[in-house]
Amino acid sequence: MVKGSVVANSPLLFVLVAVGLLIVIAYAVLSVVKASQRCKELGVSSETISNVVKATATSSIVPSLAILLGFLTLTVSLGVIWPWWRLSVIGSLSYEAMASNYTVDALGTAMSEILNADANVFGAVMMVMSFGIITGPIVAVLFAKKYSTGIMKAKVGQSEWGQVMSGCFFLAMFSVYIPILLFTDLPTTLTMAVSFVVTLICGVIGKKAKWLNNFTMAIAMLVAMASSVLWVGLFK
Amino acid sequence: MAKEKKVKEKVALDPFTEWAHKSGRIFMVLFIAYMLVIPFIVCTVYGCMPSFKMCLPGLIAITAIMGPASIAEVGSYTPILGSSTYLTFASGNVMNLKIPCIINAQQIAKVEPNTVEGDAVALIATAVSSAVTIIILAIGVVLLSFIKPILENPYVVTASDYLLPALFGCMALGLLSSGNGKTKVKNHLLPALVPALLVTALTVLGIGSTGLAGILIIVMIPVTILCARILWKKGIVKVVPVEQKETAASAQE
Repeated sequence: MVKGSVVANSPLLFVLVAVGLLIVIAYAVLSVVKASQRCKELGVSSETISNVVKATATSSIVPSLAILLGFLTLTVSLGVIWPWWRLSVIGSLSYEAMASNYTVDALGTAMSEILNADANVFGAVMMVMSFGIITGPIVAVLFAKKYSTGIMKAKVGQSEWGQVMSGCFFLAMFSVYIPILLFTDLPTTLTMAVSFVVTLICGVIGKKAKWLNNFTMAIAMLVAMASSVLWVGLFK
Repeated sequence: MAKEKKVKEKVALDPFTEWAHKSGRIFMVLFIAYMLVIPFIVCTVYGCMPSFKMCLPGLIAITAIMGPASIAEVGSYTPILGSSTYLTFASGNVMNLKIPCIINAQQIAKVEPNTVEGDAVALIATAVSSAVTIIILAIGVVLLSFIKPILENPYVVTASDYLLPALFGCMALGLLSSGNGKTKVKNHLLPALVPALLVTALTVLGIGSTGLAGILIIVMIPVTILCARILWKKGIVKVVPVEQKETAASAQE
């Protein structure tokens, strides 16, 4: 019997995952090159593009560390390589945990046993995780172009209603998330308030120290998340 | 006649937008195929191919839960993501990473969403944040034993639970801005009043939660558009030119 750990730690899986990640990075690099070229043609300066890259890179670090924490959680039951692939690309901790739990439950085993059980249990977990997540990507391939360019055309058409309507999607997103976060519990509300205030302060300082504008989001996130420890200690 | 209309529609699309959607779809199809083929290759080589029966219960359970949520996510976020939809859904972490990065990037570049410039900036932001996540996780794999105790520190664990409110706190300020260009929408927040009140009521009743956000957004999009339409027809929400002073100030910034 081949054990799950043999497959989970196999060089073959490592190579396949590394190649997959390189494919995603290659497309990301190509996208940055093409999009930057078009931005320049449309009058967006190189300095602005560079600021966008810097700001995005710095603001992505903190959320990526949170994803890294999810990765660590999954390594306990699935080894290092498979969670590395799943959380680097399409998956999330909650989805992966659910998918693997449902699979092992149906097979009458436990998460902690996946690596010690027969390798086909690990195989089933990989299959369920991979096939269970494809609905969103397939829907995106089929409908995203028509959906997105339709809204773009309404806006580019410069009709007054087009401009009003195109803002509705952002508003709908905020009108859902802000009340949920405001009324969940006090630490959540206070963390959001701290983030808002820090962003406001950075915005005021950033009028004089322009370099700060590229780091506002990263700073606000860090300070707010650090403050959450205090709020949880006080109110939970 | 119909053919002519089709040609006109194609001409109206910017070459970059056309490229971004075409390449994005090809990338997405290849990505899905590659993602699905990995378990088949590994299981074939190691002789551990699970039977269909072994996978079916888990697959049914996860698809029943995630299928509708995934469709709702595509419906809710595609208008914001634009042509970066493909890379975003391939690289994951839509709400906790990609959307905040896109909103932040568009504010820094002072470009409007759903324009060619806005779309290009969104793609840059998505690509950079996807690459950063991949790099950080790769570093995490290499330095696993070193970073494990740091990330498992109880304070760090608590702080990471509050990522979403921290993100929305910084994004909320951008919500107050009503336009980056020569025109702005007056009373632009008013259409969100009814949906916000509905979600508040659901949250207070214990029904609204971040887990249901994707589905709630897909419901609230038509409600928001309807409210905007009524308010726009009544002349309460309207597009007005940005005053020269404001334009000069924003140009200076």
